[in-house]
Amino acid sequence: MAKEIGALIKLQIKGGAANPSPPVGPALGAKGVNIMEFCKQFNARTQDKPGKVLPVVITVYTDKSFDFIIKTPPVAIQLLEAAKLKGGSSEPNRKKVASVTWEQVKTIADEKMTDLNAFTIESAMRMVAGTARSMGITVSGTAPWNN
Amino acid sequence: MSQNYYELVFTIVNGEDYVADILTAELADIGFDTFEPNELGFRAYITSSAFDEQELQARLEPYKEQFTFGYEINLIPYKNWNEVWESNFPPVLIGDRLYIRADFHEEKPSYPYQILMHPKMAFGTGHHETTFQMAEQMLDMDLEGKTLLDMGCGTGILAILASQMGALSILAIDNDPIAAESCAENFSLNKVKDAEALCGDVSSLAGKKFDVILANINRNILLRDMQGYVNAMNPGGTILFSGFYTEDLDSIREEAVRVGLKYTSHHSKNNWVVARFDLA
Repeated sequence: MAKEIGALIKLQIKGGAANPSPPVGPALGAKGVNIMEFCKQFNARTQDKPGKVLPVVITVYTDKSFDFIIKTPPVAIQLLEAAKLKGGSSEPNRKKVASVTWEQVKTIADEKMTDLNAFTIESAMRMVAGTARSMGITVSGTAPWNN
Repeated sequence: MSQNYYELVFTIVNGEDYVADILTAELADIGFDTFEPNELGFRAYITSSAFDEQELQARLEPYKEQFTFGYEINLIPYKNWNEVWESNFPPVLIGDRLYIRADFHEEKPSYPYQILMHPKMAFGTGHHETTFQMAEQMLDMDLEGKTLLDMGCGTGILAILASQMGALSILAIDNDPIAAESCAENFSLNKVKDAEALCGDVSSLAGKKFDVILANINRNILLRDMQGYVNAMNPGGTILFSGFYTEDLDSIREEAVRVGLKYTSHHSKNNWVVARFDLA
C-alpha cells in the first residue's frame, strides 16, 4: 500500500549546508521527523554543489518517514554565479559591471527549460536574459537569433 | 552554546516570480543559508551572529527602484527543534551486542554494550545507516587499550561505544558547538571516563596521535582533511570513514592512497558506505 502523504514542504537550502535550525528544524521537527537524518542525507546528496541555493521539495509521510527531490538552482542564482565566474568579481552587486555570455545563458536555459515552462530553447534563453537584465547583468555579444 | 536565528519575511508587491529569486541570490551571497518561498514573497534565514543589516540594505538598494518589496525581521530564539522525534524514538539494536536507548526505554542487561542517548539536536543515534555501520565495524575490532579520535562526533555515540570497548584517551571533536555540547552531556550520562569533547576541526589535531580514528562526516570534508587525519595517526593505526555514498567511494579511496593509507575493506547499506583503511 502506498504511504500516506502528511505534508509537502518546499525550501531552498544551500548545498551541503542543511542544519537543524529554522526553517528546516521547525518545518520538519513539528511533523515528528528526525531532522538530523534529513540533514545528513541532503548534505551527502549535494556535495557536488556546495554553497549553491538548491530548491528542495520534501514529502513527509504520516508514518514520519520522508523523501525529497532536489531541483536545479533558480535562474537568478545561476546568473550571479556565472557573472562571478566570468568577471572574477567578488562583488556581484556592482551593477553594470557584471556580464554573462550567451553561451552561459544557454547553459542555464538548457537546464531550466522544464521549470521555466518554455517550449523552445530560444524562449527559455529570452527569459534567462530578461532576468539578467533585471539584475543589472548584461549579456555580452549578439543574441544567437540575431546572427 | 546556542545559536539564535533571524527570519526575514519578504513581501513582494506585483512582482514576477524571478524577483524573489534575485533577492534570494543576493541574500545567499551575504550569509543567509535557507529560504522558504511562499505566495507573497519568501522568508530568509541567517544566524544572528552572521547578520549585518547595513550589508543587507546595501545589497537591496539597487533593486528598490525596479521592484516593490518590504521586509520585517523576527528573532527566532534557539530551541531543540528535534524534540518531538527525540521524545519517542525507537531504540536501536546492533547484532546481539549493542543496545542504544533513551531514558524512556527499559534497560536490557543481556547486551554487553548499552548506550543511553540524549541527542539534543546532534547527529548520531544509531538509526542512520552510517552510524549503524560504523558501530558494526567497531564491534569487530579490538579497541582495548587503543587511543581513539572521533572526528565529527555528533552525539558522541561512537566514542561512547569505543570507551565501553576499552579505548583510552578518547578525543571527540565536532565543528558544531551544539554537537560538542551534546557529546559532553552524553559522556557524563554514560559515565565515560578518560574522554574529552570539544568544538573544533582538523586544526585541533596538531601534535596529537591516535591508534584509531573514526570519521563519519561527508565526502568533501573527508577529502579536504584526510591528510590532517593521517598526520594524527600512530604507525599501524586504523581509520574508519563514513558519511558518503557508494558513488563517492572511488574518490575517497584515491585520496586515501595518495596520503599513504592502505584500503582494507568497505561495507554499504542503502548506498551509504563505511570504509576501513590502515596505516602501514
